[in-house]
Amino acid sequence: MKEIKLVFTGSMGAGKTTAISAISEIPVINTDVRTIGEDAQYKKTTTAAMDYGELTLDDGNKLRLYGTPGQERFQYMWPIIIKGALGLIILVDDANSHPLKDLALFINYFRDHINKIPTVVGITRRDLEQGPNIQEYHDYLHKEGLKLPIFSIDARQRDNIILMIQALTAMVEFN
Amino acid sequence: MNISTYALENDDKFFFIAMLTMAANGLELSEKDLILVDIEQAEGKKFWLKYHTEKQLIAFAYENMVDATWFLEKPIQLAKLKSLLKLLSQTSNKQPIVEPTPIVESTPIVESTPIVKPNDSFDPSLFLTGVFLKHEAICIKAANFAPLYILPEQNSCLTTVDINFRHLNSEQKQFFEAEISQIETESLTADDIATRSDLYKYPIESFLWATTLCSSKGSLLNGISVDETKILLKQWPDFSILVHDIAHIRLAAIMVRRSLTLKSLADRTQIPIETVVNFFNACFITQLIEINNNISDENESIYSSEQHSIFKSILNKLE
Repeated sequence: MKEIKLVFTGSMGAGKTTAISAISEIPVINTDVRTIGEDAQYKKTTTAAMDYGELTLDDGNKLRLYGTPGQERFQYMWPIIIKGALGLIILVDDANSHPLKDLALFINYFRDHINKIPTVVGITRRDLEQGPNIQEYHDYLHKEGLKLPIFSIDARQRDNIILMIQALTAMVEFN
Repeated sequence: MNISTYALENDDKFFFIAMLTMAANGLELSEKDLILVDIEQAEGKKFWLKYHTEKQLIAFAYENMVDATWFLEKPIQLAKLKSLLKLLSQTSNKQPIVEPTPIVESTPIVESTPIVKPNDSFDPSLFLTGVFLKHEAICIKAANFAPLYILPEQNSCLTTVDINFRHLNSEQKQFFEAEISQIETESLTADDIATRSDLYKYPIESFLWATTLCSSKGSLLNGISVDETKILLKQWPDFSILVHDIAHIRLAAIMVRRSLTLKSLADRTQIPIETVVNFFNACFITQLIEINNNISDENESIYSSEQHSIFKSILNKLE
């Protein structure tokens, strides 16, 4: 048995825990603490160490689904979680006050990994029409020399999470 | 009307050729010979200075810095091209401008050949796609589908039908395949539906994409060659709001990385050429395509076949 790991990262409240719940076959294990600072007005609790979900594959191997903590004060967990990941899913809350800055934070932090493992970006809460249009996210990535898939997603929808994994699969096939 | 091009960059040339048929639809065009010249290119500027008094030239640039009578603003957009053609057809029918001087044969100045439409090419103006490309606020009725309200200024389409673009039903497919002769339209203003609370709102892009994908049926847009034109995807389509299947996701993955002809794409992916063509048309109409005849780097893959098989087994489990 080997460890197969898919990592969900992204801003606080972007839906990482929800996305993992949408495909995990076990209830998601999380380590929530009270949110502090400006973020507290948006979300009462946030993940401190990680979220964890699982999916047993047909060959018996387990896919481990990890979610990184959203708040930057728990950034020390990010390198631990990303180590050895098969793929990376970055979620950005479009209704947050600075979603492009949020995306930039995660792109910059995980840049070395993005160059080595397939990565997809999911923009959540687009229905509220508060954030930039999807082209502005692409434009930012282009400036960074990246052509990653960007999808408007609803983290509660299993289909949307599958779409992101389909994109990761295709990226690996045709890199 | 025969419009050739001079000093246009590859992308511009292909977009121009592909949009010309759509833009010319419904216009009575005279037998004029015109040349579209990119005056922002050194060669184009030189050509303009030399010939603008003796040939019928259309200046192509971001700004009309030469004060040209005929001007097409960059980047090429269907609405702008249509306005220009309309203007040209009206003017040439009433007061012919300077008669064109035949281009000296020994001087290979005109790059493109007259545009010839192959019989099996996809003409968006014959389908619902053409209605969307007009950028007009209208209400559409077709194929027993609920009325569809198009509001280009709000980039929205509204209807009473809850559409899941991932799984279109047969009634929805029929609607997206509708031919122009089956479509009724009525003019519309945003106020007409402002009080309606029973309407679902979708981006126009979702409909433009769906109608092109469904009505192409393997016929390629005019001006593109299956085995010569190399194309690249500017960015991934937002599949979450677009009709798609796994073949389209696979095509996107390769098309954002490599500049290939449609035939090579079909060969490499083992996806039927009809599917590749339909996908290309939808990408083109939604302005995601870049013509790029450069040879792509064929770097060794950084991913192993083992990684691919793990991902496939994850998908098998989830789907």
